[in-house]
Amino acid sequence: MSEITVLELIDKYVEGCISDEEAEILRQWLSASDDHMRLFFSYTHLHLELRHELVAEDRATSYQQMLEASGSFNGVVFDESKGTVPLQDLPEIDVPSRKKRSTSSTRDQEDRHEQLVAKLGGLRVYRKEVEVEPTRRIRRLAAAAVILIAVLGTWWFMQPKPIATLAQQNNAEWSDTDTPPVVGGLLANGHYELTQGFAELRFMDGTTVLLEAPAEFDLTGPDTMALLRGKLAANISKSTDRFVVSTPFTQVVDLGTEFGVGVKDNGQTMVAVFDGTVQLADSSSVADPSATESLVVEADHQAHVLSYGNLPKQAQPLDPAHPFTRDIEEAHHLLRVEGQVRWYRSPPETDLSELQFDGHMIVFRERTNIRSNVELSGPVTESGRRTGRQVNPNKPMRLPADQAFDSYMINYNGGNVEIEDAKRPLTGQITFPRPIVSLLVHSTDLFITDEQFGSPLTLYREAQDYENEAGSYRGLETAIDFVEISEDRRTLTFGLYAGKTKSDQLRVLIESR
Amino acid sequence: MSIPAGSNQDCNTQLARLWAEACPLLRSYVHSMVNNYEDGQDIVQQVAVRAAERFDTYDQNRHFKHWVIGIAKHIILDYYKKTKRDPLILVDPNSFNRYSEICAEEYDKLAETTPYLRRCMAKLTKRSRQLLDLRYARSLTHPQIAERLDTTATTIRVALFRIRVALKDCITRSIAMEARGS
Repeated sequence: MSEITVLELIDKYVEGCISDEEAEILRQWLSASDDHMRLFFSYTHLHLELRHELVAEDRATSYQQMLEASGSFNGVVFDESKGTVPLQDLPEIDVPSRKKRSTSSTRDQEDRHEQLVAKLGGLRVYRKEVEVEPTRRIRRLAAAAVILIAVLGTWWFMQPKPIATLAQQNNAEWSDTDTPPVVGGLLANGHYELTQGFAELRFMDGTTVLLEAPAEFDLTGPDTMALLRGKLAANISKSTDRFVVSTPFTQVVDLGTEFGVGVKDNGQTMVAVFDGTVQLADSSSVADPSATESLVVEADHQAHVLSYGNLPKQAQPLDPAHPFTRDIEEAHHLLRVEGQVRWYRSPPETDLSELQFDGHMIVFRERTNIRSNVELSGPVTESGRRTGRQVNPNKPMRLPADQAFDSYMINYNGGNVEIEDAKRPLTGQITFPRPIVSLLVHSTDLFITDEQFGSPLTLYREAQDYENEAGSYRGLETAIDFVEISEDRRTLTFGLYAGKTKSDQLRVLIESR
Repeated sequence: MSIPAGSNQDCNTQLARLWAEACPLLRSYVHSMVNNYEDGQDIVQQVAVRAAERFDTYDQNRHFKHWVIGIAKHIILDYYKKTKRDPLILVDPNSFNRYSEICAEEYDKLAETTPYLRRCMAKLTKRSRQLLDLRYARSLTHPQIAERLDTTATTIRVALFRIRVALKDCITRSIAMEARGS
């Protein structure tokens, strides 16, 4: 488990919202090493320290306010050695009611504790019995009525209410494997996790939201939702007054538009506006569109929110290589992936050569809408089948500068492959949404296009890294490796033979939208 | 070896001094084992009562902090029996004992991080600080904070988690930078 995953489990534990399954995972992780125990102790200590620091500051502020206020006194614990405030002079403090103490806090124990405290530090506990007046009884009855109304209101609020319909999905898997959402079914308010594929939600007013896995989100109301991580593209119905997407760091208030929202695991949020305008606002100002702490992002612009409530001063022009999939049609095409190949929805944020082999190659989209007139040494551009030996590296071709491409990377890494698996090639088939223009199969072509076509999030090894490892190349080199482009140039079938120490890569350039 | 017989006043003074030294560690230890704050406070109080009752059996050759942690272990076990819940790491006695040793060893280092925490807290954005105040100083639950800020409880949980991780990273960086500087 990565450290951030572990920290999230510990965080759920300290906040008391860890599930039994998660607690079991954490328990096993904890008992595995001393370092795990140290990390756990340091994080729980941080949680406790935060409480002490913030409560201490709050008390200091409250004490100041107390001195300025006036009223009667309920009771106080104080240290005689530090001087006392006369009972009659202490004002009444509005103390929030505390949670009922556990069964161990009996009166008897409290008395023993008071004796002990007295023994330890000369402290005294003073109580003043307060007679309950009739007016106070009435107030208590009124308070009980308010609580009853609040409880009923909460009960009503907690009841599942239909928010949206699952209009379409593609290759979708949900964390709720027992009763996953079904196409055409209603989705109630609540928490959802899309672990794979795409899902298109249609809200009651016609607004559609296309979610791309991995995504975690809450449906909260007929025109509100929260995206906790992952990506969505929203197309807002014209009949909607406003639509709000909350993220951990900001709130995106639609002003009649089409936009994308992406939330990284660290909470950083990217908002890209394709049409119309949106307003970014911090959590407290969302109810007031005229709030000063907000940023309006217009069409063809984007903004990044890097920390909670810290809005950028201005939006930037939209990067054509934005990562959002805007319609389910594209998702349909993208996801026709068959064989021993696995679709990564987001580019890996790591060194490709360090990915562990799990019986599959991987494919992911690297960039979109890239123009380049780079000269390639020998790309495959025609339909048909070729082996690694049949592709000629001496057929230079310059990419047309006026055409935009989307790039995809197919990667095999044989780092920990079993010997038996390494004896046969892995095969796969991918159907792309638009025709393949060029297939880069030679190491040199891969190296020279990494900067322009590679994902900015992914680390590609440089040529000299391979020079130090004899027999290690990126592209197709052997007679067993093969690629086959279909007649309509949309489907790529391929087989990669990569031994235990090798990695193979293919870069596919297709027409942009 | 038990403490030598002396006047009650001497014993009380000695207990008060030892308790004052060990209490911060004990609090961190207990609260790491018991995630309900009020219950954790109760347990610390019970340890104090039991330590006072049994102080005449305390062997001065042992560290006082180890002695009170031993008391705390039994009280925490009783707590989990009463609440009929599984403790997080006490299921395996070996892990439990090892964890207790590690807490005793590590606490002093952790205690030194408090000034760094304060400095890192001062760097938080206004909104992050507001969230922490609502959670800790006001003791609001995630749903209560969410209601105030017009968002969801899960959003609040995730935001708080990220703030804590940011603080943890900030503390680590600050200590490393200071070590390099010196």
